[in-house]
Amino acid sequence: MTKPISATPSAVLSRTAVLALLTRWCPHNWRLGLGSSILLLILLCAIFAPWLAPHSPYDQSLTDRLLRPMFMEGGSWAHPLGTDHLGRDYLSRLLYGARFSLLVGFGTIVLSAFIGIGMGVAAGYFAGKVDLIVMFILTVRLSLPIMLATLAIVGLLGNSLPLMMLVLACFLWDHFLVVARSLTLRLREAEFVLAAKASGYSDLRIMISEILPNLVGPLVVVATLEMGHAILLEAAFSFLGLGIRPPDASWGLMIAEAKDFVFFEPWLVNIPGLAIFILITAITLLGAGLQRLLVKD
Amino acid sequence: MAILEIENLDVRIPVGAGVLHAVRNISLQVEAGQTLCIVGESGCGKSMSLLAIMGLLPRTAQRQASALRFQGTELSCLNARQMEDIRGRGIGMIFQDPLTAFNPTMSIGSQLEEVHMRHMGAGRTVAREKAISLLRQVGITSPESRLAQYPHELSGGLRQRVMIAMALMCDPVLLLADEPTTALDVTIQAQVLRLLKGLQQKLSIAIVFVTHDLGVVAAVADRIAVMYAGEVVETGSVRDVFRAPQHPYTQALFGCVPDIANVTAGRLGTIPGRVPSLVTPIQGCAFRERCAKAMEACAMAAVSLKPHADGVFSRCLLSAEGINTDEELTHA
Repeated sequence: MTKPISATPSAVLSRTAVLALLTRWCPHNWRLGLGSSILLLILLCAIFAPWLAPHSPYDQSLTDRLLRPMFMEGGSWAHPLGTDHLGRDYLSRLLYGARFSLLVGFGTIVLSAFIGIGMGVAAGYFAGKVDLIVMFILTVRLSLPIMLATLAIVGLLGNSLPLMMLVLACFLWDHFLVVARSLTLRLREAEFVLAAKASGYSDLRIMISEILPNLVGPLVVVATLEMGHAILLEAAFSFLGLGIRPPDASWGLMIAEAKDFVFFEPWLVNIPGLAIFILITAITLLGAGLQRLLVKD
Repeated sequence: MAILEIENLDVRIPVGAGVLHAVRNISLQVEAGQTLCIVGESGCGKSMSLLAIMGLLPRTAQRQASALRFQGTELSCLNARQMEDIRGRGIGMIFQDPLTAFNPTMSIGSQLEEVHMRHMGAGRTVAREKAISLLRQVGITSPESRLAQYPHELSGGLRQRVMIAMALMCDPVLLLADEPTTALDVTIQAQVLRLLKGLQQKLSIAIVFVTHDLGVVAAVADRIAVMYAGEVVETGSVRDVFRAPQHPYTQALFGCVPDIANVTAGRLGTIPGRVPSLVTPIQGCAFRERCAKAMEACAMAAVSLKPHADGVFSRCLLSAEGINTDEELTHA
């Protein structure tokens, strides 16, 4: 017997169900297909950067400063995307920069999902006073300007990659919280939660093994969108000199270092800018595709 | 010894401006191997009574009872942790809608196994064997392959059987069944009832069975408690109550059962009027506004459960003294 996909509950996320859904929906879901393939490509570039990069991203060569990329007049295949103001190979820096962007994206999302989902599920499940406290924390968080607060924290503690991720995670959990809370509020009345209580499960156990699996679909969508947000913020902070420290490369930092040349060699800004644009587009497409796949109602 | 003893159980739930007096002073007893059926209209406190026993009332609800004993243990003295050990272990529960009562994201197998592992401290393999043997006992063919399936892949009847198996995973001595056959069609209903009855005889468990279907009561019950507006209005053995219902409400309920032998009788019987609001305090007999035999005295004071012949108790002024005393009571 074949089961109609529409009859499955929206959030069923077993391995077999996911595979069945993917094979069935990918041809009709171009967003998912395009987004995930671009993201996969960028991911592979980042992972295999040491093998793919033609030069070291840190090797300076002041004689080869500001060489143009190969597609422009005066470019050569020796440096396919040219060199920056210190003569470092731009393609290599772009490939290594992808590692930081993705690392910040993933790392931030894992941390902020942990914070947001934890508080959201607790607020929705216990309601009452717990909910009141969590909503107060959320209000406080929403009233903090991310840029200014980060500026203050980084100014106090100095900039480093782990601190960057931690600070971003502390600011990006709000969507996780809101979505987890509202879904949990609905699920706590579900009969299977009552059945779980009647089977003698503790509250913590019910939240983790009964409620959480039902939130996976919507939360995966939130995670992809927030990941794009995190990468953009990292780029912005690196541009301001608050993120990755030179000589490490990140796309935001590359734009920052190129800003002095923006009127003379605009490609220096455009190439990392385009990379950020493509990555964010891919993540957003993936998010939209997953939303259609997992959150149908 | 009685498995479950309830004395003067009272449940109040604050709603908006007032307080909903959902369960009013009910006392029940269930012996091992016995089935007690709680019968009544929607909203008469049947399900609330079950939830009160399990300690699963809404957070705002207040539960009071002079005794709420399970196997001699006073449940209201237990802390949350001890109560969790009793739920699922000593008392199993079967829900009305077997679709919504299963977690849609987990396979049947893992849901069954986890109950066993939680309470019996057993390993996955032991729990799996127990699940397979129980699924076989509830009449499911090829249980090994069923374990890997998800709730939405099973039919309603199968789901209800799995739910019964789940309630029995830890060999409970008491089973609370909240309208377990209401969501099923009639043939499946008969199968499930037969199954429950058979399991009860084999395992000698006590069952509290909530239903509004008198046909179901006749099929499974040993004792019956008829509830109206949050209180028990008549209780006794099924045979005695069915033979000679004492309370006018019980009589009216029987009047509503369609008579197949006499189809030409015309319209289905109904009870006129509506169940009184449980938010406003009820004076006198709760049923008097819909009762064909209501008298002035019915409005005076709350009526207590009065013993009748054959151990039947009924909450009616007419029942104990007999109908002859009509005149006296009216003039009292």
